[in-house]
Amino acid sequence: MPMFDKNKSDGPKVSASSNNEIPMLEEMFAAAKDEIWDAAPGFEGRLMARIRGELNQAAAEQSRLIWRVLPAAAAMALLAVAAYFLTGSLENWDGYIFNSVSDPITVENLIALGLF
Amino acid sequence: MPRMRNDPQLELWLNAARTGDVEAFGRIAALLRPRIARVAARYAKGEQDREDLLQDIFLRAFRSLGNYKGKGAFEGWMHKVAVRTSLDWLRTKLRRKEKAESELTQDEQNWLQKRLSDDHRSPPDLESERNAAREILYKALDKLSPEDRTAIVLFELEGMSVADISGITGWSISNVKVRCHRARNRLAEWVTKEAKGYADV
Repeated sequence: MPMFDKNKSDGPKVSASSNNEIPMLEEMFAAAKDEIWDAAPGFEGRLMARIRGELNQAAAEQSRLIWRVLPAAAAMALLAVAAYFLTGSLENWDGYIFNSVSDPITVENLIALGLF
Repeated sequence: MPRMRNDPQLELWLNAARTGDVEAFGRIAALLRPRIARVAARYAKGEQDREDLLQDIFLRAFRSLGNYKGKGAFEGWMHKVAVRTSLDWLRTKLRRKEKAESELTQDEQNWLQKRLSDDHRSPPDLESERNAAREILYKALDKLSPEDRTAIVLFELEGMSVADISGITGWSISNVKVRCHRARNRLAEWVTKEAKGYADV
């Protein structure tokens, strides 16, 4: 039969009076409440080492990601430059990258550009 | 009851830790460790598990420092992080299907038998008796779901009100009550079964 503890009016409390085993449970709770556990000396040092380790790992991960993206970005830039030379020429360049299509994309032109 | 305002020194460390100052966070950990260690001890058994859980709690707090907006004391926020991390730790343990040790040791069996035959119902006074009582409780707590265990631990061992438990866990008041009630019944059932089992031997 549930009843409520006066000290914690909003909480449930199971009646213990009719059952031999329940007072035993109360004693177990009391014993556990008394337990004071603390980490072994040097906890903060170990914690800081772990945090630094995680931060370094995250930085390394980020750097790995950059090196994975960088070649792709460089290739894209190279392609853009190639496209500029293939679709326009310096002689009639009027300030726009894709100003005219004077040099068609042919094997000869690609060889001339060193891309083939 | 946690203070509502932070100590000025703690505020300085917090500001530094938010910018990634690990040393400053180490000082915060040193300040709050005794209280948070008690929470970790309710969920994990054995030195190594407790140390790991305590580190997990502080690590999660460090990562989430940006979420602490200064509303209420930092200690209260930290306690919330501790409970939630401990709950997740129990769930992970359950997913890994780590078997909890449930066999009672000779000392624990002796305590149960003595307790059953003791008409005066005197509380355990020797340290060894208190240890036995505590260990039996932890083995019984291992039989509960992580959520029910959290509810009963906060209510019975931390002495928190149902409203506070609801605030920390995000469960409704009635849900917390149901969990506490169910947990108590299951603990009583398990202890009764164990006590009878050893009495019959």
